[in-house]
Amino acid sequence: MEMINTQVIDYSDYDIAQEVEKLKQALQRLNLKTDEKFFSRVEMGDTIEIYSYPENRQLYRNEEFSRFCSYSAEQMSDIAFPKLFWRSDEDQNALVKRAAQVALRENGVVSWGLPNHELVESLHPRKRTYEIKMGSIAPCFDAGSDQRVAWVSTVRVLLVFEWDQDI
Amino acid sequence: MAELQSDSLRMIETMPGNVALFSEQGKLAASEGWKKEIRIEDYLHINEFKLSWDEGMKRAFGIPSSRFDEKIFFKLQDGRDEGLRLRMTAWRKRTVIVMIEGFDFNREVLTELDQFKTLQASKAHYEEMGEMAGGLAHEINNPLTVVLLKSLQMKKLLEKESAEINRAQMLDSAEKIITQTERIAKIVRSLMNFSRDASSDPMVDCQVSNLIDESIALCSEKIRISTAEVICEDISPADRCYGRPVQLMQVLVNLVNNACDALTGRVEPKIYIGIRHEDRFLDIMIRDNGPGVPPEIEQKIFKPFFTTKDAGKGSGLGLSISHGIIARHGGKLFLDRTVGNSCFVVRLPYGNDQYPSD
Repeated sequence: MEMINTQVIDYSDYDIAQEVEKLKQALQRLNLKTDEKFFSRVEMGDTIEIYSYPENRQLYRNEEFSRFCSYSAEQMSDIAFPKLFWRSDEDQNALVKRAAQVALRENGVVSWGLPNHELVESLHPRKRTYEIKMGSIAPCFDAGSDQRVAWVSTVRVLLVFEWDQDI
Repeated sequence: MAELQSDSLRMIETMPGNVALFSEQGKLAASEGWKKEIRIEDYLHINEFKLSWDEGMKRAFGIPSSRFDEKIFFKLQDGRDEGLRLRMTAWRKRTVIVMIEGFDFNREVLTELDQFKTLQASKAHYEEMGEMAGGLAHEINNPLTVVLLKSLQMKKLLEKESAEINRAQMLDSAEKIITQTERIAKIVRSLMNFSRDASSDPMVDCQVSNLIDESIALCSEKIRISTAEVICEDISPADRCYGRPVQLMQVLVNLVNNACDALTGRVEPKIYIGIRHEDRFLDIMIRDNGPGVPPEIEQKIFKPFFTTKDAGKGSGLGLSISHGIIARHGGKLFLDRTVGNSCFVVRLPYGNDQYPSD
């Protein structure tokens, strides 16, 4: 039984400016807007995601996560996040509470303020597992009505483990 | 209806024994020999044996001159069950003759009803377990993965002779292993308890907080997917009730699962579980901040086969069976409109002297 990877990942092909531009385009396509300061919080290797609120369905993610993730874009958009991924109750409750708090009450970008934790691909036969380092989060508003309808976030994802046989 | 009634009356006057005529809509058109205290409308809804009223009507009207036998069950106004053997015959278009054989209290038929109800409850119990098993396998394997990962990380660190031991990191890993192992143990324990055939279990003194904890553990996947926060309010280890623990858990699991379904897509979903002491009864209240039960369906929710869930997602038997289980405990399962959006109350007597004898 071996851990997959705890090595430093080569992020040399990660272009922050390009990632920010893609994020802006996604927001425009989804008819959303967010705090401009969020764009300057994007760091090398960040996974950037937009989730609808309150359904918490993924509306956008950059390419970074697909470096490791076994789920297709369709699965990620059609199936609720808590069904696809597992994290401990303590981490999950803290994260859901924080996302709701930001989506409903914050006006600008803030730090997630949560400790690193493990995330397991619940539907993966070998339970692919990531270490998640939490970055920043900001509410997203409907560009027309200004209603709070989503949130955008950065996290750093590291694939650390999967079982050597299906379980 | 007037014409039908007049025709029907003339006809049934000429017939021996107990006879009733029903219109296609299930309305009692005319009757002879029915006891006054029977509430036909109750009978129409409570029939949960083999053939539903609608199905019976369809068959009676669909096959000209057909006749078939059926057993029906209904409640008298004093709450007692009544069992009948019927012979239904399509008399003419839009009318069914129901000939009643053995109208009086029928022990044999009622025993059959009891057996049927037990069988239904047992079937629903195993169906529920089957549904839960897949989800609970994830709820065991996922934390098990984290336990293994953390153990491997610790081992790797300890194997490096020159490595400095980060005590905080080691402690964090150890705590995660302990938390997740305890979680797995709780799920397995609850599942083992729940998977037994409890239909003939004796009534025992139960700690309510244990019943609630184990039920929550069994619903852990649904709770997690619904993202609901479960808040247990004012539940003391001293709160006790008397009953069959597995059956009571079956009811609580059903109510918590329903609450999870009602909370899908809600903002800040919450499930509150609390205790209330009412005279000689203990109430276990399961409340959620979902949309609530619409008033127009309130009277139907405890009826068999009634469901608001999408096709294939619910048998419509959960609440009806839970209602029956609690009734057999000498208690009552009801929707309390005075508290919150949807508040289901499991009302149980405190002591064994208040329970019906088995």
